[in-house]
Amino acid sequence: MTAFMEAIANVQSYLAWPGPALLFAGVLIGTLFGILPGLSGPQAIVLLLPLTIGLDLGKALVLLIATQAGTYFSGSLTSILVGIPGTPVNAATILDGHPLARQGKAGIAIGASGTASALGGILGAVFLMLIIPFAQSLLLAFSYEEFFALGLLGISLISLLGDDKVKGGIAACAGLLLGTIGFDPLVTLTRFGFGIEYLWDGIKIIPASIGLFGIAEAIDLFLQKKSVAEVEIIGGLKGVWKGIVSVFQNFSIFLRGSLIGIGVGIIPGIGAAVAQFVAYAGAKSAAKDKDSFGKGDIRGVIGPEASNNAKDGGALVPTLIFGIPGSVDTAILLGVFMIHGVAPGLKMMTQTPEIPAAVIMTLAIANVVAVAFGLSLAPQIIKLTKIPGSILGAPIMAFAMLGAYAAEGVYEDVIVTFILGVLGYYMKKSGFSRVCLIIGLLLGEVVERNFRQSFMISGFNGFLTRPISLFLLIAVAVTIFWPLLKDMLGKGKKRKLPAESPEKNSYEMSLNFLFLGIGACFFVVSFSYRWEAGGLFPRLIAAITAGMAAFSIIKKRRFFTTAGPREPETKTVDKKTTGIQVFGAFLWLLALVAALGLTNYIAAITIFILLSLKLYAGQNWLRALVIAACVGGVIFLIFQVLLHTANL
Amino acid sequence: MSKIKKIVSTTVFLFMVLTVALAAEGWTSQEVGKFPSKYITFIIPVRPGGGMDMYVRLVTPYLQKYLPNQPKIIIKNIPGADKAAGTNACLRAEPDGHTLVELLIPGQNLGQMLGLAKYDLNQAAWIGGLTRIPNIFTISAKRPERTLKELQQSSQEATLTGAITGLNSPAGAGSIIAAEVLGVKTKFIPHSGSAPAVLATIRGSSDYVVQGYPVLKSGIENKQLIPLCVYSDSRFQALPDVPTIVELGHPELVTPFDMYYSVATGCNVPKETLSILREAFKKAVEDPGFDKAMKKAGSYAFYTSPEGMEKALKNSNELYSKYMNIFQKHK
Repeated sequence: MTAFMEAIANVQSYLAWPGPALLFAGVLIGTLFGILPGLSGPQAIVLLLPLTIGLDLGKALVLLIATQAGTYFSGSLTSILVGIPGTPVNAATILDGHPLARQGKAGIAIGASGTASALGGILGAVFLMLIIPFAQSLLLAFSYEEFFALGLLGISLISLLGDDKVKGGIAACAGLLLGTIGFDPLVTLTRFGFGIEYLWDGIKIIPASIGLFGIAEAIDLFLQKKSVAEVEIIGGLKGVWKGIVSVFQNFSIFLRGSLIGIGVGIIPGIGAAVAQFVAYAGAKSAAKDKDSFGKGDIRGVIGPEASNNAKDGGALVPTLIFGIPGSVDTAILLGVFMIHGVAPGLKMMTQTPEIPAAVIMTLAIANVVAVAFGLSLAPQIIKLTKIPGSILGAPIMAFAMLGAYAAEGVYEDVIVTFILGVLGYYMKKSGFSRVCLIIGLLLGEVVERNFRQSFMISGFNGFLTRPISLFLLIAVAVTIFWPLLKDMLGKGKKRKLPAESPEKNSYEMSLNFLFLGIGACFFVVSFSYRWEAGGLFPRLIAAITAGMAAFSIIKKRRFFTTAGPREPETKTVDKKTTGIQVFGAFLWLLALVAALGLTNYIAAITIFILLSLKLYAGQNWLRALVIAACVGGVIFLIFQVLLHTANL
Repeated sequence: MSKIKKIVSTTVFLFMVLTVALAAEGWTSQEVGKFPSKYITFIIPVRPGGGMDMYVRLVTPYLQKYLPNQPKIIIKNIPGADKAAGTNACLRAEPDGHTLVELLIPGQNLGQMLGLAKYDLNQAAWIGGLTRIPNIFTISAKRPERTLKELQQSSQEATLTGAITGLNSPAGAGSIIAAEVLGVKTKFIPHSGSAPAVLATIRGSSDYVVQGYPVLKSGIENKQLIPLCVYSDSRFQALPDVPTIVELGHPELVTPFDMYYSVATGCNVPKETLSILREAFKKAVEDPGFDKAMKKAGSYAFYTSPEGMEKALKNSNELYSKYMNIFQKHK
């Protein structure tokens, strides 16, 4: 440990000039990539890889780690201001960050997000420094059984968090089912691919997060004539300062989010996208008053934003200790180490401790610089929320689709984004949790794979004979059964549930039928796979999904009266839009999807924006053309000239 | 009249926008002429990170150096459908030699033979191989055995567990063949990638793992993994004390583990263009600078001619054909 502290002191050579310039350049590039939906850390650092071959290792690490750090906070700007995840790790920030922007509090959300990000990043770096002596034993204590139990605990905690636990359960199971599409995690088999090559890789996180969270917000914005901020903006630095203070007022939420981020990051193969949702659930479960979550609660921004920066400290542990990457980002970093002739691992930690020390220092400094840079822009960029939704809506929808397309240059990603966008919109309107669905999608593979691996080695014994696994499984049982037990013992609070509009009821019923159909379909198809080779898990989950959806349908039809007394319906801030208008907006978006498949993507997007501004927003041709041409030009420069994005 | 004016102006605007966009598209491509007439796209059919990605990034500057007019080479990671998306993006591209793809042989050919991968390697024209990486048979340091013979004996008393990756990877298919040939009774536990398979063996959840050296390097250096043999016909320079599988009496086990990181393009590319590409690629791989960069990264440059690649593919196809029944059981 002392040697390591000495190494921290000897790290100046790594951070010497042009280190600061590279750090700032990395932050700038990362910020740009984070703001643009679909582009995130891995694409940014891949773009910079050729440059790093000519640099020494220290400078290369400074550039890449700073770039990575830059993407997280700037990604949250997009999530807060326009409701589209800038990067997949900022999707959870939309849930409360965007409603805050609609209430004119974008500055507060950005201030809180920035502070939580910076402090979370520093905490992650400090953790990395402290954990290094014990990391090996810690990592080796977790095997298949523990990873299975952890995944199960994450899903059960999140799905049982809402008021309606049945709806949460249905959404989580539907996510788990969608997660079984594609390659089986263990044997060479593709499940539920229906002969479509694209489905071999399953439902990917970028189209899923943009569709479920971004499209629903974009459609709402597109249909409203008002600006994002429906009331007067709490302006400039005053709002940002309030946001900064709010992190210290909710320090336990921040701390919890950071620790969740570190914990999830340390487990190879799970990633930051999971960390943010678990942190969101953590923030919500810790709160006594949960009702404000999802409507613009600053705690719903602090938790996820602390986690996604803190997780980098955790994710670097397996990379530095075992030379094994925990994520795509760390796999690229590992490549950079190797290109420079350094093999991460215990040998590197003992023989050249200044290298991990440089990584830690860079991680901490880059987070602070990235946030300081982003916050300095905040007073200006929150003015974006003053632009009428009818003008902003079309470019946002176009950028959302382009983001899904640009991530891997695969057209089918656009189609999936659209389908999940429709699903996300109606889930939002009917109170089905999109967080539960996406967490099921993300963790399903982890749960299934580790269960089957453990079962292959030691049957059920493994789960019950390993203390950590047993403890976690007991925690899962308590999470699931304690609320039921409380209700049975009459200790559960009988809260008044808000009254539900006929429109919401009808959406809810339709979705119940949809999930029933999906469950039934997967159940039938799952019989084409042997139970021991990929058939059991989807069969089980499909049966639970269909069963819960059927129960929910019956409950809705008032055969059962489990719901508590209801409050009279309150008017929400949202402008009511008719079903026909929504249908029209989706048809219009579908036209963009078709155009992206049929023609050059720049032409498709430019014409889409031009016609949207003219026909929907009532702008004159000249103004519409100028805006469309500007957006088209920016897209051309970034995606075509700078990135040479694949296959677009 | 105003209505007509509106329609006309709308049409003019739309044409203007379309023209700008299409011109923009055309801007990026240059005139067709002598090869190379525009930038070259080098496809890596997997996500960034890992050996396949790193080797292409290291060879690219040298390939650019030896191609006429030093064209820009754009590296694109096109992952998906178990390398099929990237492989097909090249094999189905315009046959003008401006699109290259990295292939891993053996492994990708088994995917095709088992009907798991939707590409046809017969449609590929080889440019050459850039390195050959041997696989290393390692056991968890928690096991008492220190030689392959001891392990073979132990497996007769209690079945061992082996951590493998996908069936259509050289290490995955090779491990299954090797267990059969060596008589090591094994229950294989599939993993989602080489990193989790290695980590499982380090912590003792699995008894052994066979992988390429780069991913095992840290574990071997830190004595968490014990190398028992190298699947190669000559000793591996980074592990000079470890015997080869040939020395241990099983030369037939070299082929399934002999990983060729190779480069190909579409089979309809004109012969003159292929010659230019092959010549430049050979010079690039044989450039001392490339070898130095590869050695720094823990590997080494090893040029294989297009004919050599054909032979490697044929050999591994023949070998895999013998074991198809066993593969079908693991499928």
